[in-house]
Amino acid sequence: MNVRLSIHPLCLAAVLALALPAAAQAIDGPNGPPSFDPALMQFQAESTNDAATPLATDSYYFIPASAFNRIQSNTETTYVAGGCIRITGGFRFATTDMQIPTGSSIYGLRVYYKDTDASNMVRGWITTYDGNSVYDELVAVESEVSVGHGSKYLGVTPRPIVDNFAHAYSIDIGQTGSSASTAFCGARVFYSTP
Amino acid sequence: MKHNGFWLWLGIALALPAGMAMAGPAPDAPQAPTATRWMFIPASSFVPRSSNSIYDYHSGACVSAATGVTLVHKLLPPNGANLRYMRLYYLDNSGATRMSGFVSSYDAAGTLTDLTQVRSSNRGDYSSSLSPAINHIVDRVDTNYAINLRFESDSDSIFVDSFETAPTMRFCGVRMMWDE
Repeated sequence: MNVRLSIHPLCLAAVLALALPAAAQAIDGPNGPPSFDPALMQFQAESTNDAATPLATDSYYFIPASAFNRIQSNTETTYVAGGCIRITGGFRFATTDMQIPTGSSIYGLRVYYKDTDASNMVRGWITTYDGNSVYDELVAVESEVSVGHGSKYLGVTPRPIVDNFAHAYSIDIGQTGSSASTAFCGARVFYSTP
Repeated sequence: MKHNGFWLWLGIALALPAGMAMAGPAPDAPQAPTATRWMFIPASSFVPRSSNSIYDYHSGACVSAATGVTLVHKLLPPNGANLRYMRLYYLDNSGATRMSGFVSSYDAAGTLTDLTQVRSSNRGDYSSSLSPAINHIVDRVDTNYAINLRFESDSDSIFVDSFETAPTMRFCGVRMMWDE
């Protein structure tokens, strides 16, 4: 018995009807445009650092200061309020590991702080390590004297591509001065997923 | 008997998606591995397990501590991932001391299971050691995970107080590998 197979136009329409819902889901899925909220204003402001980068791939890695750990045991820290800490003595550094996907582009680092004294400063870095004591500082941000709480963003040029096979990454914070005029409140890495 | 191709193709088009849905995994079942991931953790982001532990920072995120100190870092691979290996990065320049890294799982009811262990070797310079294969499917529902790093001395090594100090080892980081 010979069976002749041919694609009928109605058959093509049926297949398309089955496929279209999947296509619509992709458009409206997680990569769709985010809904408007006040935070989006700042999101877009930093996104304009690279107009060629699709907005949907922009992401943040935002860590409160209170979740950073002392870089060595003699480092002294004091919790202030609202996730802010003050590094008051010893080896005055705090650190946290940075885990963002391989292939991501790092745009820059924003450090949040309270700094009302020109003699005090909060400084933040993104650092890479190869596990054999070799390190590289990708970006360093220093606080500026401001009234109350403030933040400062610094971009990285050229933008490093994250490689979690070859490198470990950390965000490190140092503080000079221990008066009540200075506190570290958090760090936010701006990056684009692959 | 003459067959109409349209009806055959329409039948296939309607039956295939339903058949694929029936044959697919349940929504809460671990998905088939699709990619290999690495999580490289600098030693400086580990925290001491006890608050009275003394540890010191060195260049390049490396950390030293006295024998007996254990450092720990949480491990959060996605549910269903297959843990493959752990690589330990260190400086170990003495046969008298060593460090051990563990991938540990806990049931939060006091039960500890070490999924793998890897020890440093006296190689005189910065180096790394790879653990045996782990091959553990991550279950984030009933289990939590951590990486423990313990500074140790060989059992037959005795350091005479005030006359001899244990050589300083440096722990520099851990790299986890898993399949998703």
